[in-house]
Amino acid sequence: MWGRFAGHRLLQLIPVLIGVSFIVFLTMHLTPGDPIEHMLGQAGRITQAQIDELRSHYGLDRPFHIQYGLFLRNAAVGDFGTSYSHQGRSVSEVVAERLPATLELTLFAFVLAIALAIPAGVFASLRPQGPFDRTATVAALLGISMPGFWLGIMLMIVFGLRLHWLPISGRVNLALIPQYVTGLHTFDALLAGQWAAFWSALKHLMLPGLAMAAPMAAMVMRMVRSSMIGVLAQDYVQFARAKGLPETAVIGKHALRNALIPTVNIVALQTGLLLSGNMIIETVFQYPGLGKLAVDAIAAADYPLVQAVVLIYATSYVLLNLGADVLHAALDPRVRLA
Amino acid sequence: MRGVSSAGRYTRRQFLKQGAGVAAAAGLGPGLLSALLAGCGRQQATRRGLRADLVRGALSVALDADVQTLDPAMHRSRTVEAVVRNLCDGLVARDAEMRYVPQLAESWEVQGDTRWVFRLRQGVTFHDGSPFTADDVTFTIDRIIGAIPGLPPSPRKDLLGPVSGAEALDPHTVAIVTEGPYPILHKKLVFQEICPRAYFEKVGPDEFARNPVGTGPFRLVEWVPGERIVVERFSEYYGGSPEVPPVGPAELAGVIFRPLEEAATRLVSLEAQEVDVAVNVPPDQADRVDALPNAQLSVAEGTRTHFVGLNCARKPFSDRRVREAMRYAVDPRPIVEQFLLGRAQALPGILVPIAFGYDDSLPEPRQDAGKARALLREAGHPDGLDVTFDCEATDKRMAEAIAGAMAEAGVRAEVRVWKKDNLLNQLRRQERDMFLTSWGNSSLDPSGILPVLFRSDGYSNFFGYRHSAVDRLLEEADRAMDPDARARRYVQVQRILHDDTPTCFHFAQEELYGVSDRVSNFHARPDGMLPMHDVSLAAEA
Repeated sequence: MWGRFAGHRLLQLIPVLIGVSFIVFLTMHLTPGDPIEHMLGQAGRITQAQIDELRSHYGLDRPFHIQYGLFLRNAAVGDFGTSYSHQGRSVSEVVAERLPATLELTLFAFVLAIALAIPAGVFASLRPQGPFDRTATVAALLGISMPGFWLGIMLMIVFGLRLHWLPISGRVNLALIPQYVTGLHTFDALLAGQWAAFWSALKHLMLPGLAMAAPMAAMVMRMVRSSMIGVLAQDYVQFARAKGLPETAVIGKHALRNALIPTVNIVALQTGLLLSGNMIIETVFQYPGLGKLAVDAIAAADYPLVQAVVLIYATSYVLLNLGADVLHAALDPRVRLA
Repeated sequence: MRGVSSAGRYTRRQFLKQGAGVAAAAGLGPGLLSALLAGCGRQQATRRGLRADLVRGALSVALDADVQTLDPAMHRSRTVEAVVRNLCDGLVARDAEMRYVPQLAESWEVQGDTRWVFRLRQGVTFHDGSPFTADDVTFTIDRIIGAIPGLPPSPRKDLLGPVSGAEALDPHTVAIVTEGPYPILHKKLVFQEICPRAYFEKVGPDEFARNPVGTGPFRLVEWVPGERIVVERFSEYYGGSPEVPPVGPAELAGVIFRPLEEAATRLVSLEAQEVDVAVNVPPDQADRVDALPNAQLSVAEGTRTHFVGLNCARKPFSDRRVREAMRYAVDPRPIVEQFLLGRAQALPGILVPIAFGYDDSLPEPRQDAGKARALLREAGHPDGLDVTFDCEATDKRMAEAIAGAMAEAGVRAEVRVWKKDNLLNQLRRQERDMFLTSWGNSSLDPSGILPVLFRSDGYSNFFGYRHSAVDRLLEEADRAMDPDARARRYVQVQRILHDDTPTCFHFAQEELYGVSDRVSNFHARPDGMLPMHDVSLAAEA
C-alpha cells in the first residue's frame, strides 16, 4: 500500500514540475533584463552582428514556445544546458558544486530546529503560563517575526564580533578541509575521523544554521506545545497516570507520540520554508550554496541556471510533502492512504 | 492490539519500527546524492585541507564580487583583473602612484611611430617551470586581437587599442605593430597579462580559465567558485619590476581571496579579523572603519566619473540652451557631500584631476536657477521642462535628490529605475533623454573615456553627440606621439564639452579599503588593483 501510494504521488510530481518550470520560464522571459545584455555588460565595442550571433548561439532568437519545448526535451534527459553567467560551464556542474553546502546547512538547521522546538514545546506545555512557557512564547514570537537578514547580522555581531565564539563566514577552517566524499564537510570529517575538522565545520554552521532555524523552531515549538496541552487533558493520559506509570513514560510514550501527529505536517511545511529562507540567509552570510547561486543567477538573467535551481527547490518541496503524508498516515491509524 | 503481520500486509507498527533505519537513510541520502553529483565536478575529487603554514601566513582579502574566470584575456571585470594580476605579470605595470614601470619588459622603444620593440627580461619562468619567451608575448597579443582561429574573441581587445600584430624578433625581443601611430600603447599594456603558449595549448581554454599559469609572484593553489581563490608564494619569482622595490619573491606565504558581496558581511568579517583587507567600504561606513581599534581606512582617488547625460540628438536636449540650463539647474557639491559624506569630489568636467591632460581652468560647477529659467524661456520652455530621468537601482536616491534640486530651476524630472545592464544597452542605442550613469577610466588617459563617449562613432556615445571639431581633435590626440601636443588637444576638447554640455553634474567617488593593523605596505590604488607582492603580515599575537 505504501509503495502504490508513493508511486502514485511521485507520478503526480511530473505535472507539478512541468507547471513550475513553465511559470519560471515565463516569469524569467517577462522580467526586464536580457541575458545577452548582461553577458556583454561593460564589454567594449560590440557590433549588432556579434549580439545576434550570441543570441542565436544560446537559442534566444527562437520563439518562446520553441525555447520552452527544447528546454523540456533536454531537461527530461538531465541536460539543463549551459550557464550564461559561469563562462560556459554546464548548469549541472555549477549546481553540483553548490548543492552539498546547501544540503549541509539545511539539514543542520532542520536538526537544530527540531532539537530546540520539541523539548521546549513539551516543557512549555507541562506548566502553561508558567515562567518557562512565557519565556518560550516570547522567544517564539521573536523567532517568527524577526526578518532573517536582520537576525543574521545580529547573530554575526553578537556571537562573531563581540563574544568571538563563532566564525562569521566560510564553511570550515581552510587548513582542516576534510577529504571530499559527500561534500558535506561535517559528514566527510566524521567519515575520516577528523574531529578537529568536524568541530570547525560545525562551528561554521552555527550562525547561519541558527538564523535559518529560528522561524521553523518557533512554529514547531508552538505546535508541539498546543497539541501537548490538548493531549495531556485526554482520558488515556489520566488513565496512564492512574496506572501509576512514571511521569516520563506518561509524557514520552503516551502524550508526546500523539502530540507529534499534527506536528509532522507543520514540520514538512516549515522545512519547505526553510529551503526558501536559505536564499536570504546564504546571501547575508555569503554562504556558497544554492540559495546564493539562485539569487546571483536571477540578477544575471541566467535562465538555465534559475530553471535548474527552482526545479530542485520544487522537487524537494513536493517530496517533503509526500514524506509528511506517508509519515502522518503511519503515525495516525485513523488516516488511510488512498 | 499487537501489530501482527498478516500475510503480505505491512503494518503501521512495522513501518514505525523501521522508522529509525529510514531516518538514518534519509540523513545519509543527501550525502549520497551529492557524492553522486560530485562526479560532475572533477576538481572536487581531490580537494582537501590546505597546508597549515599557508593558511596561517596568508593574507585574506574580502572581495566585493565573485569571479567567473581566471583567464586574463576573457573578462571585463576589475575584480578578476585584481586577482589575476597577482598570478600573471604583464609587460608593463603601474606603481601605487600610477606611474608606468616596466615589468616583464626590460625596456622599449618606438620605431617609426607604429612599431614598438620590447626587450624582455631574461631568466623568467612560468609557474609550471617553463621559460618565458617572446613567443608567449606574441601568443598573448594574438589571442587578444583575435588572430588565433578557433578561440572566442577577447572582450579585452578594445583595451589594447589598434594593434595589428606581434612578432618575435628573437627569444627575448618582441615587436608589437599598431595600425597607425598610437602613442599610448605602453599605457594600454598594463591591462594585459602574459599567458604561456605551451601550457595554454596543452590544457585548452576551459582548463586554462580554471587553472591559469603565469609569471606572477603568486601561483594558484585552488579556486572554489563562490567560496575562495587561494594563491601561494611562487619562490622562483624573478622579483618584479626593479623600479618598484623590494625586488624578490613575495613576502606573504599566500593570499586567500573571498567573495563577500554584502558590504555588511565584509566589514563585520574585517572587524572580527576573519579577513585582513576589505575592498569597497561604503562611504557611510568609512568613518566607522577608520575608528576600529584593529583596522584602518586606506583611501585612493577614484577613476570612475559619474555624470548626468543628456541626449543631444532628441528634443528637448537637442537645443544647446536647454542643456546649458541643466548645467545651471543644480550644484553637485551639496548633493555629493550629503550622499557620499565627503568621500567624493564634484568635478567641473568628465575627467578626474589625476588624469593625463586634465584641464584645471574649467569653472567650478554652481547653481543659478534664474539663469537656468531664462535659458529655458529663451529655448521656448517658458513654463519649465518635464523630463524622464533614468538611472539604475543603486543610484535611485541620488537621482531623486538631483531631480528635487532641479525643481527650483523649473525642471520637473521624474526618476525611473532600471537594471544596470538593461539601462546601459538602452543608452548605447541612444534611447534615453536624461540619465545618471558613470564611466570608469582606470587608464587615467583621456583616450579611455573621451573618444568612447564623445566621438561621433564612440561605442558608448550615449548622447547622440556629434561635433566635428571634437572628432578631429580626438583623432589627432590619438595619433600625436608628443605628449604635450596630445594634452593640448584634450584640454581643447574638455572646453568644448563644457560649453556644449552633453553631460553635467560630474563627480568621482574615492576608493575606500578597510585594512587590518596586521597588514603593512598595502596601498589603496586609484585603479582598484590589489598587488600583494610587497605586502606583509604581522605574526598573530
